[in-house]
Amino acid sequence: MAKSELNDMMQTPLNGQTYQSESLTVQELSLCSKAVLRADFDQADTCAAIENTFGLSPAIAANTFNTNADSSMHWMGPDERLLYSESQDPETLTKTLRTHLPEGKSAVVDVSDYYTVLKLSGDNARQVLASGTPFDVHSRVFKSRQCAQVRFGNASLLLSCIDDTHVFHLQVRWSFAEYLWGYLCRVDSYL
Amino acid sequence: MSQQHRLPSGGLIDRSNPLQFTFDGKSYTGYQGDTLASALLANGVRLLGRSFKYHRPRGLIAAGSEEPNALMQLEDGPYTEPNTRATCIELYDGLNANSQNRWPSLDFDVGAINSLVSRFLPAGFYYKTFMWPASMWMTYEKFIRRAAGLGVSPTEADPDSYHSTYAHCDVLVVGAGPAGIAAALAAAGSGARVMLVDEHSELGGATLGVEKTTEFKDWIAQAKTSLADNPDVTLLTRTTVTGYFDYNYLTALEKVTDHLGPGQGGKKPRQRFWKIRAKQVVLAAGAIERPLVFADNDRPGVMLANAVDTYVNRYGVLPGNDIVVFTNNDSAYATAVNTSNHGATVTVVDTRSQIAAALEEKLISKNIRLFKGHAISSVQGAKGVTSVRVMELAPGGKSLQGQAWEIDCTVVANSGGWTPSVHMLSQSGGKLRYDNNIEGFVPDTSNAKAINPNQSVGACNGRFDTQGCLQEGASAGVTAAVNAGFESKEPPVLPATDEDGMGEISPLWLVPTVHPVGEGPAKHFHDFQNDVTAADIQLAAREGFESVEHLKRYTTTGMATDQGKTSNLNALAIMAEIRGAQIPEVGTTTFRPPFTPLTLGAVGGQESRDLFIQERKTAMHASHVANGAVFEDVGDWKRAWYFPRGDEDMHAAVQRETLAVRQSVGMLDASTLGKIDIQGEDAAEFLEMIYTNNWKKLAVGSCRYGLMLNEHGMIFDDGVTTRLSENHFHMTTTTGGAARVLNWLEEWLQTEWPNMNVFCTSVTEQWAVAAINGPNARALLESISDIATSRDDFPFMTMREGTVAGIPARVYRISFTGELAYEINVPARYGRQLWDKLQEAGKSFDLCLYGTETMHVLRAEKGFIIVGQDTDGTVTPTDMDLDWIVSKTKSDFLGKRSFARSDTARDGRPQFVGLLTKDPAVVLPEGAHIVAEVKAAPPMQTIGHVTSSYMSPNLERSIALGVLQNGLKRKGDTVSLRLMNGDVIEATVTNPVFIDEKGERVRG
Repeated sequence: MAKSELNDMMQTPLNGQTYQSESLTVQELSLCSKAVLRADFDQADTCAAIENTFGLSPAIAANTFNTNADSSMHWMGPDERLLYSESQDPETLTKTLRTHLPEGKSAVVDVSDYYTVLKLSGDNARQVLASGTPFDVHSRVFKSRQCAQVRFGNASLLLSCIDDTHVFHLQVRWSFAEYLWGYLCRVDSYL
Repeated sequence: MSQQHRLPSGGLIDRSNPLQFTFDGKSYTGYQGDTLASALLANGVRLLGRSFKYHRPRGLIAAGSEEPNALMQLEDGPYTEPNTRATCIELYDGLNANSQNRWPSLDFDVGAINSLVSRFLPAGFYYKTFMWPASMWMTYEKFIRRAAGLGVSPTEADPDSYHSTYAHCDVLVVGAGPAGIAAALAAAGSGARVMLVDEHSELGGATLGVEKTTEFKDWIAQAKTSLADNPDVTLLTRTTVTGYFDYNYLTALEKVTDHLGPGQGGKKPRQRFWKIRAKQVVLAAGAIERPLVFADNDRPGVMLANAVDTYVNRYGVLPGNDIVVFTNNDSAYATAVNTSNHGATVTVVDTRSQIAAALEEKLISKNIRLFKGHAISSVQGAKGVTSVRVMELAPGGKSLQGQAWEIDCTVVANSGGWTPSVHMLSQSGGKLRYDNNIEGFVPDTSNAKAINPNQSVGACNGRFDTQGCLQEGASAGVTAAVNAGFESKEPPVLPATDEDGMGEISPLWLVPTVHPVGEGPAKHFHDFQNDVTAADIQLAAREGFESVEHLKRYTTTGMATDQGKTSNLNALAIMAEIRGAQIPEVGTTTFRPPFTPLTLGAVGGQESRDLFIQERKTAMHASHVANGAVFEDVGDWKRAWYFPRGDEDMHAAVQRETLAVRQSVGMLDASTLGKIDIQGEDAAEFLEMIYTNNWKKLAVGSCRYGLMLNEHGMIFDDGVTTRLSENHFHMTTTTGGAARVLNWLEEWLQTEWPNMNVFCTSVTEQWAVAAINGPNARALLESISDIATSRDDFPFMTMREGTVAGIPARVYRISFTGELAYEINVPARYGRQLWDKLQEAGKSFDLCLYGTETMHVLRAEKGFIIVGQDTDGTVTPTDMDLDWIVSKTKSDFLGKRSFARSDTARDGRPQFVGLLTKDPAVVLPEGAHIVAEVKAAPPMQTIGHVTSSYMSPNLERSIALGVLQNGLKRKGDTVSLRLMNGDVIEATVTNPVFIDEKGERVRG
């Protein structure tokens, strides 16, 4: 089957829907390829090889992410990163990454469909986030290019602060997307 | 006459905005800015409720949240709320309140007979009287609860919405009186993130109730503007800090729209619950005036002195024109002067024989009569004070002497001193010390709990003069900011003030009357809400309940909605006098959250209704809805349970689906099964330890069933794991066990085997899974896939990659039904398309959609266990007749050593068997007990129980699975099952595999 036909068959848990109020916009982003990387990122060779391919090094500070026009590299743990790619399909992405990581001492896992990403923006964004997460999302503490794995209500999120104008990405499990959506919209109506 | 007690001017009320309200069905008028209490008082309503036990007439005592008496049933229908304090209800137009605990009316209450027979209703009356016979307690309880009732809960669902939120700050200031405002200004001046929280609608705390200078008013107004304009300050009024927990985690309740009336808040929530993590806390919670304990001190009209002041100054209400001020300290003199200034005729009765000359001079200048060294011996007026009798105190203060003066009055403004509000400090783990200068417990700063850094300032620290409060607050604000990592800055400019707080106090904890306490008709109440008198404390002491914790429980002092805010110290002091002990020796009870009552709705916040628990749905969910599925909750997943056609009930649908699978082909959404990706050079070694069987030699592309045990050798989870490549495995777990298994794997990797190169990643929702089962499953797959499906190309327990309906897929030939089966895994984005395409292609094969219930029947027909249903955490593989899966050659695996434990290896363990009832039409209830011997009545020895039971359409009879002592050796035996209703059913013990014992179908 041609790729375009496959693309027509694709669905996301929220089908790309958007919520808009005076002070909050929530939008489900289109699916990108996502891969979990597990390896020893103290190895300069490993980091250099990945950086040469994606333009992003996995050698980044804890709880931060780095991004370029195509990809984003998130710090998830000392030996764990999460890479987003807009241009590479999931299969290509995982294959490419495997070639750069030491066989047997690393892992690359396709999680492109495991998660969906909601974009949250607007003046209420931080207050809406504070309603669900015990993590401090104040602009003094949680700034642009920082990310954190947090609890929000009953959901686990990878929360990324995209820029300091109250724009965030919320990566959530497929099956929790509807719950998260409902939570964000209800809380916004209370503010 | 309307609002006959309203002063012609003054107060913080908006006289241009009159509000109509009703109390006990009668209409009144108040003003914006009133509380229900002040509006009723303005209208001359003094009788507001009946007491809890004796049904005595009661009126207002206080003006704040410490009010014990004036509990209201606010509004009706779904909005009704019982036990609300009239002093905390902000008046709104159309407010409707009713008094509580009276019948037929507040004015004439039949329950008041309790007061007449009160001699027979002492503390502990119910415990002592209703003990026999014990079986009757349930009957007694109904009547006792009705007799001692508070308000009534609504029966309808709560129509309001609530919001809960987390908040973080550098400095949290609790209380916005002078000390709190100064602390917040000082901390904010350093750049700290500050939260200032106060239960009132306005800043000012206790000063809202006193006359203030223009300079002070201006300072408050400027402070408010400064704090409100600072983006790093969160200013929360109408918000009460309700609890203080470890690591400076505090909770607060904000009444967002309560003051607008029910349903009038628009989209805004009724209340908001704050969960605050603060680096530093400044407690500026103020102090509570305590009443004097004198004869019949509960008559409506007997009020706290500061409450009278507050009604005059904040609400422009003079509670009465003839006022007796009764005090043991200096602070009530301000009340005397204040009320006199507003036209009241005032008399002061002071229990002290010596007072400062300046105080006397103040009274003289106002023509206020003063009785020094005197006390009120009685209060007249059952439903409202009409007069008091005043007599001289004998030396020592234990009795009265001389002439009794009768003074006509409608209000007694009394003050027994001030009790610092140390509730939050105490909850934080801070200790208290007794301060003889103020006769109260204050924070013991040498004993603070290090994990909860806080400072107490102002009145809650025993500092009662306004200037002292301001300076303590400002200093603490600076210190808190510095401790939170900010630079020290100049403290804020503070206004000049001249109030001197409580001044001198000479305690008189129990005011004598003309007869010994407890022996005459008069009662000395110290706890108004629970109707506890000084005589009750004496009784408790006589009966040995001397410990403060016993005293509290025996007399109920300090319990209920006010939690003893006005009564605790008086109770301790009276007990100390009885015991001849010092007050600190009696000790204090624990201050527990919440500080004031709060709604459970607010605690839940937005996480109610559909947000109470997430409904997780698979990628195919919309198709299931379109196909008319009925869903069941499995964990938090919504799984298709069965797909009824036409008028089918569940039984009919499941019977049809079960037959269809074994006759042609059926399809199940198996997406919810847990899936874990395992990679690394030690992955096979790791699985060898995790599972009971062998994994090292599993060929790439092959699948194997595995059983996981915990350290005790008990079955913990199961599933099929597939080798994708040399160092790469795909594990499946039970739906409910997915998270538990991943945690289990990580725990062993991280704590016991950190040197293993193994990486586990959850991929549960990466894959959407359609399982096709039945003799036509191969034909169906073949019709829609490019994968070679012949028996040789794609044998049982292997995995192949290819496309299905054009979608890239991993297809596992594994089976949970015993039928030829394929589990088709595709990325979740294609899940629904896969389902719909298979459904379309399946039409040629009479494809039947089936749900989890049919899955259960099918697997039970094959004797396949469900972990958690047929196992309960106490059974080993041997117990479940799964010895074949336990390696005899491996040196070790998790659980292995426990097989040698005497209990695991013993004879007589429960073992997994099939059960066939003698009557094939009878379906055993799951959980039914197999008994060793049937007797006429329990107890009977249980030797096993039914774990799964169904009507099998394929076998045309009922089947059951269960565990039975030594069951493996008892096949062919007949056992008896005794049901809850007394019926006895006989069944034959069998092999648990009821269909295709040789497994020919699955390998077909």
